[in-house]
Amino acid sequence: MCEFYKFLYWVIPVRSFQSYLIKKHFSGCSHCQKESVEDSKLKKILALTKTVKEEESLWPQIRSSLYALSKEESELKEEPGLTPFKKRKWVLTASSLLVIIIVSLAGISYFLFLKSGFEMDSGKLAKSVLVESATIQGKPAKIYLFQPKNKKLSIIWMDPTID
Amino acid sequence: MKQSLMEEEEIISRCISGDVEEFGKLVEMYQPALLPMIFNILQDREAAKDVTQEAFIQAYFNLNRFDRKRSFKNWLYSIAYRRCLDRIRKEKTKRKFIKKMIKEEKLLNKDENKDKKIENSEIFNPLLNKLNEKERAVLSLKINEGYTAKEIGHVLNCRESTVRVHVFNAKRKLKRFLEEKKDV
Repeated sequence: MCEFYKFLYWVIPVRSFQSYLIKKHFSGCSHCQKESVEDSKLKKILALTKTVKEEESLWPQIRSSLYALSKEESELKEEPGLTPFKKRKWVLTASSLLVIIIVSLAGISYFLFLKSGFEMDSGKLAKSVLVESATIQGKPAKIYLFQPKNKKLSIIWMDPTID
Repeated sequence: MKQSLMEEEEIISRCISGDVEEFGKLVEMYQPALLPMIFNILQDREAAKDVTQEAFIQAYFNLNRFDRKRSFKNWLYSIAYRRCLDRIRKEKTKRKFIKKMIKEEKLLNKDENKDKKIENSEIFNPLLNKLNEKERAVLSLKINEGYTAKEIGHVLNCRESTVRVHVFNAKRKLKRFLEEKKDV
């Protein structure tokens, strides 16, 4: 029976299946156990906690390294470093700037479009305008006309405050 | 046990707030447990001391990322294990490079001594060299700490079944080598 399990173990090298075989057979079979080294012998082979305990403490070396590295780190911190928080801040600032740029560009292009539209239509405009009467909410309104000097633009507005 | 855990918690908090001296307590507390594991994995006393220091330093600078629900000791073991793997990888590259140089006979005389130094680095038990680093780590944690497969899995970041297979394979390998040694 053991040979069959061993055969399966080596023929199907799937870890989960091998683990199942170990649990199912090898760990409980006294015959198969003889083919593995005992824990007592392992303790002689491995470096053990109690045998290494005598080593001197590594703290003095670690301490000096930590101080040196902390100093380096703090020096780096003084310069604008990119901590995760700062990174997020940068991303926010950059994206808001991008939005502002896009909105401004859109505004400028819209303004230019409007401007060019007036210019295009200016040729078709009549040379004189006559406003006979104007009413606001059914009541007659006062009419104002304004034309800046040297401009092809005329502004007409109406005032409802008329007695 | 609970009291020492609370004490450990307090020490960690003080370290996070910048008290370097407090970290010394953690080093004194865990060095005796950490060194044997690293000794067993690296099989080189000086390298093991270096890696232990590196692991503690890395732990100190990452204390704010440490999940307080986890065991500090296990977290430290994980760091140390990864450091060991890094060291082994670097050593392998170094050896490959030196071998290549020797083959090309460019630096034969210069690097002969260097190569000897690496080959003759202090070995605790030649039998352990027959195992791979994962098997050595698994056995060390099992024998020294009495960890279960699940606990070892947490430390080495692998599945319980993998740990069980590593332990089984390592024990069988060692038994075979011990018998071969007897025959010789």
